[in-house]
Amino acid sequence: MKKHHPFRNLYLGLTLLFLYAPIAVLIVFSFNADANRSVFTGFSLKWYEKLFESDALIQSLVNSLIVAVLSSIIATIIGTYGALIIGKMRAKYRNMTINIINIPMINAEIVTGLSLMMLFVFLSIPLGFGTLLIAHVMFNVPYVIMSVLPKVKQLNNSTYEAALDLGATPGYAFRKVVLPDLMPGVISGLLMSFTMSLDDFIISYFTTGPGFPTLSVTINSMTKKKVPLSVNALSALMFVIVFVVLLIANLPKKGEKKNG
Amino acid sequence: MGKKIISLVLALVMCTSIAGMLTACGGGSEKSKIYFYNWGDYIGEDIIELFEEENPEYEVVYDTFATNEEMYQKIVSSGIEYDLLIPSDYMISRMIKEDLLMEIDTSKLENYKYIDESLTHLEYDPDAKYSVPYTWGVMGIVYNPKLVKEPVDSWSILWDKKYDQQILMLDSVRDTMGCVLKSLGYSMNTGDAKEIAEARDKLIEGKPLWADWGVDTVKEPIVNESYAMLLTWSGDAMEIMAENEDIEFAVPKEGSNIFFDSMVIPKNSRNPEGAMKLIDFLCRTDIAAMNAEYIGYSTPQTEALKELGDEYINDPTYNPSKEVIDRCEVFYDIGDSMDLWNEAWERVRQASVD
Amino acid sequence: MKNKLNKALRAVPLYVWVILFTVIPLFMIVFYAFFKVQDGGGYEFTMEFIQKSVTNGDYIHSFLISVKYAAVSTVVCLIVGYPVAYFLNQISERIRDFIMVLFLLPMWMNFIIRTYAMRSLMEKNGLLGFLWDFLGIKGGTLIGTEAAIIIGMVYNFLPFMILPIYTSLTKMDRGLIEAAQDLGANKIKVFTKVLLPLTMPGIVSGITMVFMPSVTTFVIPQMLNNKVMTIGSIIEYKFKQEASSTAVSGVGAALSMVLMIIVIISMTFVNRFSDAEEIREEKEKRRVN
Repeated sequence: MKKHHPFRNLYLGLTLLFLYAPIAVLIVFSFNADANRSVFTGFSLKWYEKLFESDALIQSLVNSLIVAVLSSIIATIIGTYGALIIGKMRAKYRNMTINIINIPMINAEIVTGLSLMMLFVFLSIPLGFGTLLIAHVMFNVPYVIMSVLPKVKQLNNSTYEAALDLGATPGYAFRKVVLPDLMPGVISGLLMSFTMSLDDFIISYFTTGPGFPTLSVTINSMTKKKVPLSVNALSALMFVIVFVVLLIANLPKKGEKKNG
Repeated sequence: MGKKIISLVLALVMCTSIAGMLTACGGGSEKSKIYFYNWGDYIGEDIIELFEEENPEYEVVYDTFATNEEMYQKIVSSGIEYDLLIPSDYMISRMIKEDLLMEIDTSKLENYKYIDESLTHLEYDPDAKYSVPYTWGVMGIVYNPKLVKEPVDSWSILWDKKYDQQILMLDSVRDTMGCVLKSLGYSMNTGDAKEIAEARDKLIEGKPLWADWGVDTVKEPIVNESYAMLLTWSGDAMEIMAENEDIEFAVPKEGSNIFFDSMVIPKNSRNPEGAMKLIDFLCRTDIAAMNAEYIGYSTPQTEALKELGDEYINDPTYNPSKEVIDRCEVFYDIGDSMDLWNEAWERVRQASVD
Repeated sequence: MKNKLNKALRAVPLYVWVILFTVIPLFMIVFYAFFKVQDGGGYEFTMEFIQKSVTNGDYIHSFLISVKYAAVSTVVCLIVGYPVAYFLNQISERIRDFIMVLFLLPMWMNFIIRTYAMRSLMEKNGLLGFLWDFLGIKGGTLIGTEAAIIIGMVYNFLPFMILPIYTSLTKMDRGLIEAAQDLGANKIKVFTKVLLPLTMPGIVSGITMVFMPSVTTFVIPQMLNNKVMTIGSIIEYKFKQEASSTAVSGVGAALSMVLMIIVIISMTFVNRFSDAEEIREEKEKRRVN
């Protein structure tokens, strides 16, 4: 445990640096005195003030979060279920099914967005929160399947059967034997769909209705003027909050370790 | 471990979401709703709130779009019944042709008298029956005098080899091609295949000189003096010049485009009275002035312009002279000829530079 | 027999979902690629759109460069991402998940804003220019170069490569590697004979999740180098500019269909690697039973 791994840590550090450099830029410029994104002219909190004055931005962030949370949970349930079924298929059927399920990933987003919108209109479902949620679940499911499937392939069927033989109900056996094995895949699927959902613009644009814009839709529609730095301020705040929550979630574990 | 992190994050997010939902659903729903569809960040921050305060019987449901085409697609195929839209000139003329708009009885608008008459009755809405101008402007070249020593008065400077990799190009088929056609001495609303082909070849000829193409991404590099010139709208030029006082704007002598974003009411609107009320409100002097100040694009409301002060009135970018306007042409819908434009534009954008 | 029926029944909800939200939209694309809206309102079969999309030199060029950018980005992501996943798996369990989430966190910030930040990093009078000045080098801008597109894609899709590989590593029996080493295998042997086959499902997932969105993305090229038009940009443009009252562009639909076919073929090819292994295993299992 106390071994040092200079190369490993350096490599991980450099990769993180690459991923975080733009985030750092984004946060630093949220304190810019001017409206500029690449030349820092002075420290100011005015973009944060502007942010709290802008109901449109805050409301759309809330909308985005609601959709991202709900759609990623629903997609994870559907996707895990799907992965379990696909994993049990013979290789050739499996491939075909996977290819079809992956189509939303390949399709140009505008195509998916438009065709879903037409489908909803055809089914006369009014555009709004519901349709937006369905659309997000739709494009998230493949990502969940992609991350759970490798775990399903590694599953050991005999432990599940052994549990059944020992008198466990299928539900109990599933929860106690299968699910723990799948968990890393399920979690990465959940994280990934949450991420995808938070980031999506085009599909959201076409499938949402009046009064329920997501953050991306709001930011993307700001074409008449430069996107204001209050959006950076919003991202910076979000980042800091999530980061702190992660740190806190990580702390108690340390204590447990010491006690144990 | 992982589970713990996730559940904590989710719990937090859930809490904020629910809190947000509660505040969002606070108001009653007895009110008559006005569905307002506008460009993003294109209305003063408190304007809608002010309207709702003065007219408590109405509630505005606000929605935003990024381009005319996106808006059109959504209007035509989503079945949502909006009450008020703010499209641009050529899109308005197309929607009139396709019978998508309702006539507006301007005699019922108390504040319509303040709208500059020279800015109505233009080709896209010849009888001014369907639209009330919201903002307007002209197209031209923004340039940095530190990097461009000669006077900028002609489109030809965009093809000057001296400025290799110093020029940014606007990525917008109607606007960019229109200006090139104008530089060749043709109409911006031409359907003539030969003229369009000529414009296309001219653009392909210049392409190797231009450093990048864009709409939103190209403004800031000009502010930062990374590049010397950009073809753009006066409204955007105002924004750039506000951030860097050295930058200047010129409308070339060959002529240019004058554009409008105007308020219209779709034919399937369920609440045209509400929409009329909102239009009238937006034309009111104090509101129009407040709004114009926020948006930064020129206002067609004459009294509001006076209220903004001499700084605006005397600014040739904000308030172009009669002489400049006279050499500008307005866009209107050119029907199927647009296919030729699109084809030419695609060729230009896909032509490889090396 | 009953068991088999049960198994088939359980697959029903999955298929209903897939048909409703994947096959039907897909069918719509195929429909609009082959049928033209007539002025009267009816539809007419046509090969015009398909023909246009496979014979136009500009489109072919766009297909090629898009596949090129996506392939290069995928390879870079794999080369950079595999060691990350591997090292992550070695970190003490205490902070492992935390670090893993760190790799995903940047993606929770808005995409447009993140790409703007990327752009300001690359700009001539931005931070890159600052760095050049600092180092005393007369360097140019990255904006408008192919490198900008690749960097943008790698930045954006790298976590999608790391995550599935990491997931497939977590459940791997570490004893296997030690056993192989004990049996005298050198590092390369351990990698090619043990590590690589065992993580193949993760690698394939990673490649899929990076390659597919890279081929169709249009925001990254448009924001970092808008001189070139990738196929994603063209499809986007077709649908936006040719907004007709049907809202669907025939050529746009045909192009998306062709793109889909190209990607499915290349993904099937990638899947072969993992499947050859599995089909063999499956056969062996059956033989044992």
